[in-house]
Amino acid sequence: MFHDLLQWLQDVPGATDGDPATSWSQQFAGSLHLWALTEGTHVLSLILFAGTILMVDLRMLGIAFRSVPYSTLNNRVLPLTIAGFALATVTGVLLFLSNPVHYYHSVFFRAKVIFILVAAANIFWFHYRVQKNLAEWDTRPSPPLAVKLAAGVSISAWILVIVFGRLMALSFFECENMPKGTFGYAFAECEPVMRGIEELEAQAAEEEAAAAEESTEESEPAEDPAPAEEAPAQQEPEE
Amino acid sequence: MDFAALFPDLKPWVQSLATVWPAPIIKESSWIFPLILCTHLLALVTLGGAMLLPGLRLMGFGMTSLSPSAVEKATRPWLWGALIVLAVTGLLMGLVNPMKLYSRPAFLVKVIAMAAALILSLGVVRSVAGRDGVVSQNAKIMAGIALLLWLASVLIFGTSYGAAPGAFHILSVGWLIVMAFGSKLTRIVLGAITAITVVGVGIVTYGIYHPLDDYDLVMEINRWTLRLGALLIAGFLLWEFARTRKAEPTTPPLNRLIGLFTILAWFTVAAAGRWIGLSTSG
Repeated sequence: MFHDLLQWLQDVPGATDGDPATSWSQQFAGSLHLWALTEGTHVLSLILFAGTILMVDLRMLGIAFRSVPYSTLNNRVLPLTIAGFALATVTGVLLFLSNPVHYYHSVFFRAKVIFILVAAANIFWFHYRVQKNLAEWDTRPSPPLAVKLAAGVSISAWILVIVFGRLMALSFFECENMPKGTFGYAFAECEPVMRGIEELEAQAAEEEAAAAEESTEESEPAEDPAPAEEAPAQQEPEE
Repeated sequence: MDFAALFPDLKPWVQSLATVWPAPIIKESSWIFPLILCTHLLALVTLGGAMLLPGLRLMGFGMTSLSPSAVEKATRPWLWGALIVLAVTGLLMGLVNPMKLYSRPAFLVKVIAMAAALILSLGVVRSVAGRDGVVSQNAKIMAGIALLLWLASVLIFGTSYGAAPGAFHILSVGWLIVMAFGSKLTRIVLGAITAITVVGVGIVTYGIYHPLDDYDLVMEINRWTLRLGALLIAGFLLWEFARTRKAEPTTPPLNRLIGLFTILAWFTVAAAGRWIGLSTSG
């Protein structure tokens, strides 16, 4: 369901004369500098966002800023975290829209979304359950176990979000590289992607056959038709 | 400008680095290099928290309930830890692709900005925070050297083919910090400069400049950038009026500048690092 919607999003809005290459999504992906600047901003926003979360989590674990009440640190640092989160979200959504089908079927993108949800659930749990008796532990250098647990979940979840985000830019576990029946193949819902590639291949083979029929010369052995065009995330020269 | 242009004689040595232990092992493995990349990024995030808080404290924001020296002391172990991990993973990444670093201006930018950021964080901020705001003669000299280095790195960043767009990050980070933490007068001046720039570029784009067909795509992006820029300014104006008036920061201007440039220098290091991958050889 989402596959078709995202394919439409990638090909249709903004396209002139029905040419998918002129859609907003693909223009953005193929832009001269805009995509790279958006990606760079996404990475830099982590410094503001995750860097400040880390400091608050370390306070909750009783490792850093032990002499400062938790509420003081949190009140002072939270605006920075929110600003960083807003920036990371806006740039992240834009980057997703630059190549939605590819990311939708990326194992790492899906894992990243799952752990963003885990981190969000942890925030709500912490906010409604643990923070209720804030007054009891606010000034304690080492907060109670439930608080430390929430901080541990938060740090672990954000680390995984960042790691999966970084791995999204590499070409591990792409649908073309995973055998049918593996967990990754099912997890990333590779079926429609592979069907699309097969259709492209069949189409290319047909065209080649037609071309060979037309020409009287002996045709060269058919080469593998190139699969779908390269994703912007793979442009990164990580040789 | 890049290391290849500055030290052409080093080329054989740089090429040979790719065979030095443990580079071949990293290249053989499918997972060690990605692990190094992820560790480098996580250490960068840690460095972010550990340099932002003391930098902002010098500017009179963030952890103001503590003295500058207390904030600097609390973050110091994390700063050092992050720097060590960044250096080790960074060196390993360099060993695997030495020619890339050698030939790309972004890496030269990164090294120069790193020198500035290290002087500022480990020397100047530590000294000024340690004396709770008093800037010693030595700190002034160190800050001056660091400022010159940082300016040189930004100059190379902004003028190097391929890496130049990355300098936009530095501009935007500086702009955001000043708009968020600057005094009222500074914010008005910068806001006016920004508005004049956007209007000026708008006049050039829509009025004076008639692009050839080939440039249509670039111009389209240009128009969108303008629209976004106008939106951003409108948003900031709204925020200026909507936000509750806070007292002006009371820390001395010199301390505020030191905090600002320390943060900017680290963002320059990070942005240049990202643009090693995003740019091409000069």
